[in-house]
Amino acid sequence: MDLYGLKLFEALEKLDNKEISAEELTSSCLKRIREVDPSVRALVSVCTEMALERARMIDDKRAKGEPLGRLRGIPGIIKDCISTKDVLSTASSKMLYNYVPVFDAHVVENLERDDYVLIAKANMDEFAMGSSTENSAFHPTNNPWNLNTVPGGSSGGSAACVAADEAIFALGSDTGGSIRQPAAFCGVVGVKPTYGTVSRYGLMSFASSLDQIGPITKDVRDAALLMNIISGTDERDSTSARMDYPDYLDGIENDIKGKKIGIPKEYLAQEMDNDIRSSYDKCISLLESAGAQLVEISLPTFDYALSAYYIISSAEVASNLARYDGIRYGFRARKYEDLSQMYKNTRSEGFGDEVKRRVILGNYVLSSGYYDAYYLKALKVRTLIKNDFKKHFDSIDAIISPVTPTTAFEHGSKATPLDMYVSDLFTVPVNIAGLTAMSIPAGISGKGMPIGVQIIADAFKENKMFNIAYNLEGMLGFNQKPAIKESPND
Amino acid sequence: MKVTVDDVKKMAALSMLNIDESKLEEFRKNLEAILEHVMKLNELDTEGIEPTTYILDQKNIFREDIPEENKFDKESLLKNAPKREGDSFIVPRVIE
Repeated sequence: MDLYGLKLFEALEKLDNKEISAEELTSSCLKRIREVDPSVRALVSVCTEMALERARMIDDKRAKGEPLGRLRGIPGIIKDCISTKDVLSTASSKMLYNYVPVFDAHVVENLERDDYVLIAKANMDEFAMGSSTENSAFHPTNNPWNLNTVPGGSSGGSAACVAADEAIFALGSDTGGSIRQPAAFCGVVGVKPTYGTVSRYGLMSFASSLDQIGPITKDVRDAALLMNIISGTDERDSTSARMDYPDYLDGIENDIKGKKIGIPKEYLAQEMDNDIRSSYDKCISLLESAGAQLVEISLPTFDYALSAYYIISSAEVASNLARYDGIRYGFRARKYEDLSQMYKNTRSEGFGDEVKRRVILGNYVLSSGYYDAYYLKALKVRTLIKNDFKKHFDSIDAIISPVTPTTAFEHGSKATPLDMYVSDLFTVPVNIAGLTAMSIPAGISGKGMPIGVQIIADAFKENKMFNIAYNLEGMLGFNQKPAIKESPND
Repeated sequence: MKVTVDDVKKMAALSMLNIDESKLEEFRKNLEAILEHVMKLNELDTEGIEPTTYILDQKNIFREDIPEENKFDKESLLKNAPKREGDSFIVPRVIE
């Protein structure tokens, strides 16, 4: 088997046994990128030389018997809204087309300390706004399973590159589903940690009360290991949870006899593809066969999460994107006559339409006369949604739901922004309610496209979520890989 | 909630954005549709409900006011500047 096809723990074993070297593993992924990325287009930049140098350095450390980190030579790809020192970080926006950070994000520092190898930066929807990666200022990404379809978004590049074996793992970010939805569309595992678990220092902000960085991997255990590495209190992020962090691998293999898992009835009342519904039903049966107790629960406010989300996240992003002014870094317009024009021209040329739309919407809902009716109302609804979920977690361990109402759709098939927004229906409530959730591959549709299933747990209860996901993954036995065509018309 | 082209222009100006004349109607339509959709929230009674501005329980995260060593040199902080001169960022005249 080509080395690039390995999962994380498999690769670690081979590295430790000296069956393979870090350089060989990195080279294999780089070769894979050269082979398939012209078709998949998951990446913004590739760090070939830097990666090989780093891999060699790790092999050197190993040869000398020096201590090595938990990743010791594993190649990873990082979403382009996460700052990597001396490596172009663009958030897939023209606004940052030439931005090279002078610092590493907290998560990158942690990965470095544990000896990962950065091989590339992943494409995304511009500034994380979107569900298809079609909003990238550079180019769209193609779903490896069918190049005519989208990989999802906004972490479309991160999910696609793992599905295509361009790296052993990737990092994405999730504000309303941006890790879980692409993970489902691409047939890989994606985790949105509880807000506060992973430091946002070095993550280009979209919505400050919702954003979280998370791992995208080939299986559940890989994701849990990465959670151990990227999580933790960071003094530089005042929203980073000050608490003791668990070992996310702890108890992951325990059986799930007696675990209470909620079936959210309002979720199931929504329209979704038949394949997705049957895949979900199959998951329910498997969980029951493993001794879990499936109970129907009601989340009457779940349907309002989408509206609350688009108000809150737009308001927050309007504020967060005010910093892009063409002065200290990034793009600046060539023509302007005064400061105000410089700001307007820079931002209008530097931002794409979806970004502009949300910034305008955000300022609208925050403006006097509308603040109470929209923003304040949305914040109150957020409380209701949070309470609705919390109520159940007193008596259940997790909730299981579909991730998306459809499988990956074709490029250009969403006629309006609103059409795109409503596909986030199942994922958004998790961010709004401050919970944790993950998507694992559950099956393949009649048309050969991956279907995901979502496991939701209460805030800071990732271990419960990983345990159930690990068991379900074992029973599902999903091991398909996409057969990547050379071009969409093959 | 009706949105006019004028509303879009006003909000764009507040956001320090220009919207192309040719795109104004499209923006207006999309914004109106989104605002219509989110009106759904009015179906919920939020009387007496506290707004959630922040999802975690922790608050008032402070640190000691102790000066730390600056990890970054001036040059690296200025190197991304679109327009610079010496140690300064160059901007259009601010005061007439």
